[in-house]
Amino acid sequence: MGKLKTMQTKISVLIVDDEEIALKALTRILSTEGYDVVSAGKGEKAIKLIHSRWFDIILTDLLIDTISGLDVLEAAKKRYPETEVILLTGYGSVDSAIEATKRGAFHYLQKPVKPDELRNIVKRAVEKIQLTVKIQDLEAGNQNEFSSILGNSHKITDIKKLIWRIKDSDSNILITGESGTGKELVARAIHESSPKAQGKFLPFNCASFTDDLLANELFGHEKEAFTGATKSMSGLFESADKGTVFLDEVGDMSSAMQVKLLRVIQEREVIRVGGITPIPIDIRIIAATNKDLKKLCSKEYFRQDLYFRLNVISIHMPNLSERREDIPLLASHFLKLYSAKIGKNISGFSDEALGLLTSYEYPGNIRELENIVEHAVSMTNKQIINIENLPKDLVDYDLFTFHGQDEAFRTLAELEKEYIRWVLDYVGNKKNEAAKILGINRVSLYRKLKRFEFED
Amino acid sequence: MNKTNSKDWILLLLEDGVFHEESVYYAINLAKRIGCSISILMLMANAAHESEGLNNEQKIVKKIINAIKAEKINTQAKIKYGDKASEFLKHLAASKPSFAATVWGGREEFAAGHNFKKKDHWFLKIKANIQCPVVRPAAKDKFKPKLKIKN
Repeated sequence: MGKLKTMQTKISVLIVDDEEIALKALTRILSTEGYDVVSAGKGEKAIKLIHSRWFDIILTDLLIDTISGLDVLEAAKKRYPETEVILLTGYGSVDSAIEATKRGAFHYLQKPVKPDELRNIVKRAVEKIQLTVKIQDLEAGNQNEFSSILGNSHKITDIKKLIWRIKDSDSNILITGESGTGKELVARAIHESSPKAQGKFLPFNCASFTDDLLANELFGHEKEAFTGATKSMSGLFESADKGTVFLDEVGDMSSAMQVKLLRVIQEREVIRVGGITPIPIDIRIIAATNKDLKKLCSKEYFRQDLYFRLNVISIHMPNLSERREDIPLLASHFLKLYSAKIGKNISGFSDEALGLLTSYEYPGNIRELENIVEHAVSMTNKQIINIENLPKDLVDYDLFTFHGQDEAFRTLAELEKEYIRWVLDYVGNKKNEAAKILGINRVSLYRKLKRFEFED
Repeated sequence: MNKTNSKDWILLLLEDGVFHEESVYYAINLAKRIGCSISILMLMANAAHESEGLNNEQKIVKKIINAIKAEKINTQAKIKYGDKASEFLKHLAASKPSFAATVWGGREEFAAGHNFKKKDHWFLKIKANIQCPVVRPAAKDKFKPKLKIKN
């Protein structure tokens, strides 16, 4: 989305009409209302103005000259989708005006325009713009809430937005992604912004235990349930009541344990090992896996009913190599962290070192980057991390990598979308600069972005 | 720095009684960096029978185990005979937790990305079932012309 102006600045209005008297009258009415008004008596001039600067609102006659009001609408929406367009129609062209609203126009006014009606409709357009700005500000502000999730890449920004959108929900969530991508960090951020934030967040790795131990840990046991059970003990689910349980490596759970977990989710109660009394619980489950559970379901290694219960909301954590633009930020975060910990005054990385860090493949993802930086901080005696402070195998080897999850061939359209977003992230969302790199004009770039928004 | 008694594992995959030094070296370094143990899997198309003592693949696996242990990294090893694709899949299915990464130390076919030089390579048949990153380290091209920086 393009950036709307903040409401501290004047609202800009472009008025387009080939009737000079009407143009002057409309300009006068809106100028006295305090708007920043620009007028155009010809369609061509209007299009040029649209290409040269931003307008919050465009008021255009439907029938101008060789260029119609619909052309102005189209040009404006292509360039700045958030601009609100109001059409002025003569008697008998109401149908066209209705058609125009279907194409994205905010409203239409019948000529001759009554001043109060004009003021009212423009005011409503301003209110809509202010609302959009508020939503954008809110989204930007709330992304800052999740400061523990580092990164400004498109993929991470989308995840932060999603966490913000689901903050009032306590639906179960499935987080997928390779080891070391930060699944637990995201689960914690979800918990901390959720209605269950006052409760506990209890992480648990399902792959570390045998079935018996897993049942004992999750459900607890009654006294004398087995040899050595000298007293009754509550399990993880009970302990997390009114909070969140984070079940990592849920894809490694046995079929028998999957049935038990499904029962907990469905009945919202647990029965301790050796017990008969159900204990009601109020928990949210956030599950995580580095496996493709959908594929495991199709092979009947994972229960489909459990998959649907866990996957109410799904979040996929990208590999670090898919968000390289975040590497300098993450590296500098770890540099500060470990410099302070070790007690060294290190200000940054040499260009060569940062270049190598940014181009490495990271099969161990963020966990690996963190360790590389920690190691480099301990190795250097200078104020800058140089390439010789980085692990030798990073310097000596090229790494050919295959990521299992993306074995399917991708379409050109998918690659185009990914590349455009990557370029935009790289240039800090500066559309002009991105268009230059991509070798297309700004209009084409906006058109493509609009299409991606629709597809998403 | 040594966090290698972790519950997490990386897989070092070898084939036909041969190994690439750079793969072993890289696997050791990766294991240290991400705090993993190393599971070695040697896939053999056929079993070789030695009249006495260890056969070739056993000797190689032993040598690698010693190299890994010398770095104080926890390790385990298996040699599997038969169809490589199905043996590999069986090994993946039986391993819990699943591997954080696989370091390819097998034959040279694994080149860049999805490409294998031989289109009928066994890995291509099962690649859709691999759910962790597979990496193959290779020494950087020493013959690549270096950038000359003008003063």
